[in-house]
Amino acid sequence: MPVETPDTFPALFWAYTSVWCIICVYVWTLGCRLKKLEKNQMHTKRDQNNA
Amino acid sequence: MIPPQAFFTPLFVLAFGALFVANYFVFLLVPNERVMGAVQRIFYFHVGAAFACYAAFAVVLVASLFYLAKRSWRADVLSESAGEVGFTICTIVLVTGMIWGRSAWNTWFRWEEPRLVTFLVLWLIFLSFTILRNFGDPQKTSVHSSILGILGACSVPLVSLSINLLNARDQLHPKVIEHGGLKHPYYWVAFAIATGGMILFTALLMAIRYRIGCCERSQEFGEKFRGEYSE
Repeated sequence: MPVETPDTFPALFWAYTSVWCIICVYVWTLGCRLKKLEKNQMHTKRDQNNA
Repeated sequence: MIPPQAFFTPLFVLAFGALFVANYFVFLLVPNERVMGAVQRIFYFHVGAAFACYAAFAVVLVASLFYLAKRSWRADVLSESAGEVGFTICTIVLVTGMIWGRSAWNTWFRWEEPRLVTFLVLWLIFLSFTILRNFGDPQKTSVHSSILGILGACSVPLVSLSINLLNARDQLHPKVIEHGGLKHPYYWVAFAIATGGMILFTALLMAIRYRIGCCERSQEFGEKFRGEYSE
């Protein structure tokens, strides 16, 4: 007799969604750090030019 | 040594190429598992991410030991980067494991499971590591978090071996590989590519984070390091 496979697709969907959400949040925090870094670098360059 | 920008493109292509091929195998070629159905497909990225986070914690161990021995700021930044990325990947393992557990065993978490509890402890250690790195006393953070990182990395073998603490009948977490699971050849191909892809992706994130960390230190310490950071 064939075994009836349960419909577990929603769990698979939520697992992959959560993986992408975690990765997106982390990449976004890296982007914020990079932006802050570029801003500081611009300020430093401007200060150096003024001096 | 700071990874140059040219280093990121091949790593990016390799990591995303491997993840794309792995997704193709996982969703289009691998047959449905007989008992669990579609949810078993979480396995490929759940286990792949676990290997990737263990690799990141191995980097934390080596970099932290090197920092404590030589007080090298590069080792400190590498330890910080690997710990942070490893923690992110560790979160992926924990969340996908819980969703899989809910679907397969009808429970999000079970306190009697040695593998689940030891993995949660590992996650908590690296959560503390990340909090300490971001909010700790700047004078002492490097030493304290290096010690915490070594402690966390040393608990990885405990997580790996914890599954042997109890009889297989008394725990829910399966020993898939040890028990010769994954019979279909596509299962193995998908598993190998997904694991490789996750490790490459972790390496990519670590390299980006390391570069950002080096630039942050450069700005923090100003002229002292400026010469060393210029490419």
